[in-house]
Amino acid sequence: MTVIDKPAGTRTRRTIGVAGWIGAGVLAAVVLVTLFAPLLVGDPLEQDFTVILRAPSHAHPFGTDDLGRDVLTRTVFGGRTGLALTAVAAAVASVLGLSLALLGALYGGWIDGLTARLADIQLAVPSIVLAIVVLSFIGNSFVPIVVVLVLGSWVLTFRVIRGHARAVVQQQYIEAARVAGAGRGAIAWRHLIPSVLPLFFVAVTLSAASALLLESSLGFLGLGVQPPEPDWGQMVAAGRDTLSTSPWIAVFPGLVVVVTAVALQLLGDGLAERFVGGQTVQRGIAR
Amino acid sequence: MAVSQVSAPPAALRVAAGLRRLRPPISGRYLGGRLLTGLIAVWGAVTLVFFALYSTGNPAVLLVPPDAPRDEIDRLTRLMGYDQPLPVQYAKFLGNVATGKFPDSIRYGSDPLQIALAKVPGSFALGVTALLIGVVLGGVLGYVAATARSPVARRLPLGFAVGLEAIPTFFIGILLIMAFAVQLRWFPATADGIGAAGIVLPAITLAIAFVPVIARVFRTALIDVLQAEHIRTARAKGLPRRVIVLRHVVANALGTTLNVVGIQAGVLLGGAVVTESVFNWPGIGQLSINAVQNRDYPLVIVCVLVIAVGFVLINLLVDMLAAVIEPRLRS
Amino acid sequence: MTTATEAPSTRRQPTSVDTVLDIHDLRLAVDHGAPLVHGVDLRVPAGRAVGLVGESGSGKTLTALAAAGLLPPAIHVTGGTIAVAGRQVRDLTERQGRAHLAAHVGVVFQNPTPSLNPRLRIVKQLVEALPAGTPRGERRDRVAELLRLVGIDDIHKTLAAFPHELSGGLNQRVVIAMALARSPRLLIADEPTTALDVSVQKQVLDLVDDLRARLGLAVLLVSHDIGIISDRTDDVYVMADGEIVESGATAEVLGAPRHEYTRQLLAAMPDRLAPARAAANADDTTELLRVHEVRRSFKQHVALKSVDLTLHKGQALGLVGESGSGKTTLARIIVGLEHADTGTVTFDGLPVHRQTREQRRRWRREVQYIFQDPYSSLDPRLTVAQTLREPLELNHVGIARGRISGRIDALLDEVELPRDFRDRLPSQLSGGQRQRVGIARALASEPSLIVADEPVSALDLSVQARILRLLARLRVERGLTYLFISHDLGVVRHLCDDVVVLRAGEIVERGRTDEVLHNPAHPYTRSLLDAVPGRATAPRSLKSLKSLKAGTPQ
Repeated sequence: MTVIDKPAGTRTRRTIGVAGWIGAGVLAAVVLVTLFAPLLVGDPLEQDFTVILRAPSHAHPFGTDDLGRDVLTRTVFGGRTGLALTAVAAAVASVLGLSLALLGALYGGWIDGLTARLADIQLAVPSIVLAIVVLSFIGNSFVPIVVVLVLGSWVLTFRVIRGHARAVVQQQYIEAARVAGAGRGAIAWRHLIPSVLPLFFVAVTLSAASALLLESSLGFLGLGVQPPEPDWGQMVAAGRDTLSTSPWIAVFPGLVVVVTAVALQLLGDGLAERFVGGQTVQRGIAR
Repeated sequence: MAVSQVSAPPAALRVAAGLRRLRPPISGRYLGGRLLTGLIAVWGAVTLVFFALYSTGNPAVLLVPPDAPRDEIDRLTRLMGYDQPLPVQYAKFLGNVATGKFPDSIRYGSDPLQIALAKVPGSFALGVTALLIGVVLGGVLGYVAATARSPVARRLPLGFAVGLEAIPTFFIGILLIMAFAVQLRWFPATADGIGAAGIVLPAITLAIAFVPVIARVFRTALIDVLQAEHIRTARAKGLPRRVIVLRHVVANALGTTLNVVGIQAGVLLGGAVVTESVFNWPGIGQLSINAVQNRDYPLVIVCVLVIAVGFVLINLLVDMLAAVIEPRLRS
Repeated sequence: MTTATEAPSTRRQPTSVDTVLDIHDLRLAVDHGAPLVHGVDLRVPAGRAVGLVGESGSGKTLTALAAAGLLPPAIHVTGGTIAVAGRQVRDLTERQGRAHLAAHVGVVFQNPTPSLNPRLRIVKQLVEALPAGTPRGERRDRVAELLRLVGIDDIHKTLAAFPHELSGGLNQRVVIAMALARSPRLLIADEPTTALDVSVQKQVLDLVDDLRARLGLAVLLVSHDIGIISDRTDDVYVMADGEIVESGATAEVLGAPRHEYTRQLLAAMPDRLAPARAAANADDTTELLRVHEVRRSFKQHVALKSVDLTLHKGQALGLVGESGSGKTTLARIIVGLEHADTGTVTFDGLPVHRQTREQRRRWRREVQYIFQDPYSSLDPRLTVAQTLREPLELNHVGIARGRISGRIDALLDEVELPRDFRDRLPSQLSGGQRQRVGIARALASEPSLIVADEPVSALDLSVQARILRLLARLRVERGLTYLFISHDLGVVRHLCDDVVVLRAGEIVERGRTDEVLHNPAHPYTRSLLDAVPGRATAPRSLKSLKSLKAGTPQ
């Protein structure tokens, strides 16, 4: 063992940083615009056959599609279902991942083994293939899509939290707490949860990014939100065949997905920097 | 501790090998364990498909063309045993999967297994090409991020990788098509068959889907190894820098990297389905998405199972490679 | 410079031609930070063993690494010179320097297993260490010869093995073989046995001695352990805060230290601490705790085979054994952190498993544990006060909420920590201070028995002595009963009335500490005692201790 007796450094105060704030700002903007879409733009389904496939102009900043619908309007509305799906899925997935990870860490033994095995199985089933099975047989309404998104992203939180929680549980201060009279509940409440909470918030943003990308991929593949209701991924797919003549149909909704995902990642990295001390969090984003 | 567990090689071999006593790099037990896990995964996929089918009521309705007469549905119901209790149905389903008997594809009117297997080479070619590109690109990015002297050169590759991670695979494909097919006209936007020109854009798209993972994991692994005490021992031996980097640093980082990347194989497979769909690449992913869109359920089932088996095989390969690279995994 | 020149009056070969390592005015600093080593002079003559001794943070390891050209990237030589085998390293190009050092200096590190590449077989790592021009056909023979040189018997098996398949002691021999592969003139050993058990420690140090004699090596032995230094070196340099404070022939420096720091260091040696005397209730024969036929195994490994143990009120019992002897498992069973497979633990007259909920709670409260690692045993997010609050709130001590704060102050007083440490985080405390917090936490539950698992082994010698003194005082003041686990017989001798020797899960010897340590009955105890460093020179050090006491009234 090493010989140690030096006073260690003091804690330095960290912030989520400029990039983190930019991420938070952009994310807030996207969410607000989507939320108040009906107040900001017109009807996304309104067709105008006099302005089919028009390039971006003053009247139609994002151009129009093959039915003469305004791409900007549809892009603003395109996030409504998608972001709702993403938010619900990310929340459920991270809470599920957190709970299973904490259970495994606290009880160990076969419970830990079982949860770890569940995660292995989940990783062994590609999200897209799972989506194919569930959404083609059961149908693509809100709940089945949320289920697919949750299944596709809970492992992210689980693995991040589990790794940390297992390390914490092996620390001697947990045993010291047991000797000091703490039961499982007290250990979880006093030591484990405060320790994983910062990481959890990071995991939530990462799960959201993952769920968003998966949701848009489902839309693109025709497995997600169905036409005529607009959805970013589905709009990219619709514009795919006219890329050479009218690329704006596919590009704008696609860019919005990228901007939102980048914002989530910046926020997540900022939170990680602030709370977890710049520790890199293993990502793995399902698409 | 494993010394005693490893079975001794035949006497002749022992004599011939002399000093370097040979031991199999992978023990039968390790392989068996992995194989069993793989079988369980396939069984899980089959069961999932079965219950998804079952949850629709009478699967027979889904498995025949929409305009099929009533007695055709009844015939299939009896044939597949859909009128029997659940356990019997499940057993029959497992049996059919094991013997490769599936109802005919609705769209093509023939054995869906043949149709699906015919698409495997396409996916394989795309996957291998993409893997080569991705490993080289991700490896270089990770290496630079871990070892560059200037802080800028350390952060830049990582930022690039993180940026890539925020772009959904289908949109990467769209952007590549716009740049290299529509604007520059270097490569075709869609492939009419498996060809050298047609594979470039899909392979790059799929590669980009896992470059960030490889770069990040490889970087972390390299940094860990660089701080390991045995690197100091290697320095004390006066070995040339090149030898230290290759034999002691990079080689030791490969094991961990391979493991994490192996765990992410599901992500890569999902990326492959999307990529094939974007480029109409003749592979199993595109076939399965088309089957879903055509409501060709027998074909959907077969596609999912073929993908599951392929996935298990990939994982098995990764595990074996990891065991060869990382001796501590063998015990 | 002064210390180095005045010191080696007893040196046999004083000519500089035979100086293998000559460090002059060496200065080291972090990238843009404070200097770490300021002006060290050190010489290692051929064929001699030179010790470099100091506590953690003294800069001894950095000095040794600098000599071997292995400084971490962030630390630089900012002044002074290092000459190895007659050549100034500064005058060589980087490549020449590396080749020169590799040819003339072999290095042995603290942690043997992590010092080997986990992915490569031993044979490959040894071949790599051979001089560059070794012909292909000769490599295997050379490598086998090296292993024979370091006393490894099963050469073929060892060569084909991976490091994780070998024991720490075996791996350290491999590392030594590697260091010798290029027939160096100097062997630098940085805490080569700190991570090993005493008996293995002795074997490895014997090997180094033997090699030095046979190969005419110069050895620079870096250690915090004064016992090892006094046993194994001819000359010694004592280092503190980046400077050499005293140097000279080992026997003289340790026998009649001139510098205050050296004196403190010697006085802190557990062997030299006056035996702490018993509490008032030490003669009380009331049985407090009894362990009866306790067995415990983990998978195939049997940790404890039928252990019996009794503790009287006020007794201090030492539990001694090497790693893997099962001593920690036994301690954890007694505290209730681990359960026994069979057998009973009886607390205050009643077997624990037959106690009522209330009685068992009392057992949990009255039997407290002090952990080995002062770093991982405190929650890094909790302040000292929050840590101490936990047992006061949870362990049914019966303190009204409003009086908890006052109780925390009293506990801090008791372990001699300032009261304003209440709001400090563990990261703001030193190792010794953390261990005091750990002791206060144990005291908070008002225990009657304290089980201490190597509570001072992670601490520097001087800190160790202060913590031991604290534990001895608390025992008297509180009438505590101790079960004290240690691998260090000196520590046990200082604190314990009785001792139990555990080996491979079995008690091989027990008795009064004095009797067992002076007159061991079991061969295992004898071999443990023989392996303790500093013992070979015991008469000398005892004498010097007397002279020290006579000469310097304190």
